[in-house]
Order: sequence, then structure tokens, then C-alpha cells
Amino acid sequence: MSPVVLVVDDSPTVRKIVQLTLQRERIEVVTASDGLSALAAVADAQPDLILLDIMLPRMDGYNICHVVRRSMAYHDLPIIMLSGKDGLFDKMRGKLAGSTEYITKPFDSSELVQTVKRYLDTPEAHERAARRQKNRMSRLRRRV
Amino acid sequence: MEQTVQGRILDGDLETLGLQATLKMLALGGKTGALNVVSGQERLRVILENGHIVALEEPQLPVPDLLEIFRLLGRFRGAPPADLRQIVSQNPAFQLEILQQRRVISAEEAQRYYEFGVTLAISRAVRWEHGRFDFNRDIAPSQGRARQRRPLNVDHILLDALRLADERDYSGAPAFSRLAVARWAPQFRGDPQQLSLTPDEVNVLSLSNGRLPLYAVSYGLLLPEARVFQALQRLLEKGLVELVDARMEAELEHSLINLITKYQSQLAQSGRVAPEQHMLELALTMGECVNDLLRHHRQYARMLRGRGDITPAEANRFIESRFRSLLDHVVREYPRMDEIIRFNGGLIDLTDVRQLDRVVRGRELIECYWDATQLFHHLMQLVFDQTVSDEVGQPHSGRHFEDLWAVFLREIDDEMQRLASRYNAASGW
Repeated sequence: MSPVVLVVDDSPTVRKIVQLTLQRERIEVVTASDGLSALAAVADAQPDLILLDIMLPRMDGYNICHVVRRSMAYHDLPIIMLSGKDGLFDKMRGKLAGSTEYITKPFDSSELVQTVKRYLDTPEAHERAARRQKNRMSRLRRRV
Repeated sequence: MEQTVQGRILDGDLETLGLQATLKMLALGGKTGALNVVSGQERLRVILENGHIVALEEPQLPVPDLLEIFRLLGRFRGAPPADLRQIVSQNPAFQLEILQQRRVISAEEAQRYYEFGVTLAISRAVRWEHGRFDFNRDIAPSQGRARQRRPLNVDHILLDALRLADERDYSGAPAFSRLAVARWAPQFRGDPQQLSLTPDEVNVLSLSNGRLPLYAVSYGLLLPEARVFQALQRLLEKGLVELVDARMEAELEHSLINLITKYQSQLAQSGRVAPEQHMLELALTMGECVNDLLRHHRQYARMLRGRGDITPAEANRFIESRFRSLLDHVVREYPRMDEIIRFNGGLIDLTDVRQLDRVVRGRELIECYWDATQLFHHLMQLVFDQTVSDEVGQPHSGRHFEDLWAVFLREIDDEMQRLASRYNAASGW
């Protein structure tokens, strides 16, 4: 069962790059280009990890992080901030908003893969993946 | 190289003494030992006994799977026996001996394969101009020759190797990578029998199973690489096969991902300045992106591969000769950029673009920046197309980096449109 990563970035290039990089590692990728569709994608795809840009239309990355952290179901979901801002202030702000890790753009593709894998290979991530599979199955059963 | 220093009786560089001369000298002296040659990423080890070649190894290349080749050519009724496949897969270096013992091939045929394999390897190595060699008289027992084979005369092998090298370099055959793999094109729906293929084309088509690299096809058919490449070119033109070089594609994809990540990030940062400055930064970002593509190509260009180590000056000359006409063509469309954007040391020189504000001012400066932006935008696509086509050939199923590049260019297009309207609004341009 492939883990699922949600990539939230307003740049189609970044979304495509991350998709291509992670899919090569057999990681399923869903994408969102703005804050509100990101929240919808969290509920819909139940990702194992979120890669989140800060500057986003409709709702910025910090606010998304706050909202996700307040939810019971996703309070422990790894959120990696992906941003061109590499100042200490931005990193601190990300940390306060509840991000797990911070990667500065431009990132190296192998560094991205390493970081993502580190958070996907944990008992919590495996548990979440099993839960998602169960939910999918029950949704499928209901539909049938 | 695991031999002892005491055993080394000769070493030097290929610029001073080429492989051809070294081999001839060792043959004349009736030497016994191992000649190791390294040029860039290419390696070769020739084992000599009394001045004759008795074995040759290319550590970076897997031994071609003759059993699979014979199966594809229909030499077995059904699949080869499982025990034979197991023995051969466990001892690839001794497959000729095993196949001969099991009477799959005759002693003469085994000798022909052995001789052709040695000639093919030396035909590539005689073109290496830079690198090092050493000759060591200690030979580990495993490096000794397979006793069934007749030792090969160095003069005879060199003559044949030079003929093959000339054929490859001057026959006009396409310069495919010998590590590329041909496979049947999934979209082909016709009947190959209606295409009046030559025997060479039929054989190459039979071995286009998506797993055998071209050097193995050449070895398996005892056919010079140039003829395999020519047959393959015709099969490609007829749409029967597609050519995949997985290693090169992975390298290119990796470079492109990192390059696009870097320049997308620069692009995102450049929007936060005044429109004129933004225009200049956009032009420079694209110019640097072109340069990074050229840097990548300098390492992976098809013409430079297999030639071993080459000097930076040679690589620069190659890049300029390949891309100068493209640049000239684009500059003709933007005459203001003539002599401002040019090649220097194998890369596009961006100094004059950076210093344009010292020469022109006001509206003319903006127009120059805009021309530079459009020129680089155009050049980026042309350089990308030529790089991809040279390194990995025509697009085929399952390749993704072209999509990524298209998305990146669309983002740049959008940025340019935003920039133009931003500037129009600010100045009534």
C-alpha cells in the first residue's frame, strides 16, 4: 500500500517536480494549488504527510497548519513547510504554527525524498495508512 | 587495480603513449601481464600472455547474455534448459566455455565471439585520447585466459579494431549510445513482414526486447556497432521500435528536476522588485538556466560519451559548435541583442546583459531587457529540445521530464505576461 503525500503549492512547476520525484519512490501524490482546496484535499485523501508552501492564495501555509493541527484526526500529521523564505523568523513562525520540518526552496530532490521518507517510515504513519485503507474499503462497500 | 606496485613494469598517460602503441610495444616484447587502461569513466583490462591477448575485461559493462540472445534468435526450440540458464547466469564470464561444452555453439563459433568481443572493446578504446594506463606482470589466476580459446594476435586485433572504429566514426551511422536499449514500439499495429526488412534489420528487431543494450546486440549478432545503429535507425524511422537509455534518462531527469527547482525558486523571488529590475532578473534567470542545460550536456552529450576523458577546452569547443547556430538563429530575431548575447567558454556570456544599464537608458533599456527576456525564452526551448534529442533521442512512452519542462515554460510564459501588463500599467508602454 503506497503512502500518500499532499503537495500544496501555487506553482504548477513545484507541484509537478514533487510529484515526479516522489512517484519514482512509489509514493502516491495528491496536489492542491491554494489554501482552501488543500483543506478539502486533507479530508478527502487523508494523506500521510503534507508538503506545504507558505505563500498561497486564499489561505496561507501558517493558517492551514493551524487548522490541521486543531483537528483531532490530523493533529499528529507530519507537515513539512516548503518555502523560499529561509530566515530564522519564518522558520520559527512555521514551528509555532505546528510544522514538523522546514525545507528551503530550492531544495535538492534527494534531500526532499530523504526527509519525506523519514516521516513516512514510522509506526504512526503505518497506522494511518492502515486506517485510510479501512476507510476506503468501507466507502467502497457503501457505494456497492 | 589490485596488483602490487612491484609488479608494475610500465605506466603512463594516453596522451604520451596511446593504447595502440602500448599494445604493439608489449606484443613485440612478448610480455605477459595485465594492461589496465582508465579514461574518464571508461575502463579496460587486457590480459596478455607472451605478447598475445588471452582475455579482456570491461568492468563497467555487464557481459552480454548470449543465452537470451540465442533464444530471441530462435536457436532453441522453446526456452533454453533451466539448468543451463542457471549455470550461465552464475558464471557470465565463462558463458562461451559453458555453451561450447553443452554443444550450443561450436569451438569455432565460440572463438569468433571471443575475438569479436575483444575487437569491439579495443575499437572503442583506441579512440581514447586522455587517461592513464599501467602494465602489471602479476596476474591473478582468475585473470588467466579461458584455456579453450586461441590467443589473439595483437596486430591482427588492432587492424580490425581500427577498421571498426573508422566505420563507426565515418560511415554516417547515427551515434546512438551503446548502453541504450531498443524495444518494440507499443503503438505499432502493422505487419512487420510487409515492410521488406533487410536481414540485419530483422535480427536487430528480434533482439529489441527492451532489455539488451545495443553493445550486446552488436556482440550477439557479430555485427559491427555501426551496422547495428544503421539498422536501428531504419527501424526507428518505420516506427517499429523505440530507443530507451534508462541510465541517461534518469541522469537527465535528475538534473532537470534540480535545475527547474532552482530556477522556479529564483523566478518566484524575482517578482518582488521594480518592473525593470524584474525584467532583467527574469532574463538572467533564463540565461543561467540555459547555461546549466549546457553544463549538463557537456557531461552527457552523445558525441562525448565513450571517448573517455576529454579536456574542458574540447568540451567547450563541442558545446559551441553544437549550439552556436541555434544562438545565431535566435539573435537574428532580436537584432538589438547582436554581440550582447554570445558564447564564451562554452557558456552564454551574460555580462553585457547585466551591464546594459551602463549603455542605454529609459525606454530603450526596457526594450533591450524585453528582447533579452524573449530571446532567452526562445533559446531555452531550443537548447532543451536539442539536449534531449541528442542525449536520449525521441520521446517514448513512460517519459515524464518533457511534461515537467512544459509546465515550467508555461509558468515562465505566465510570468512574462504578468510582467508585460505590470509594465504597461506603470508606464503606458
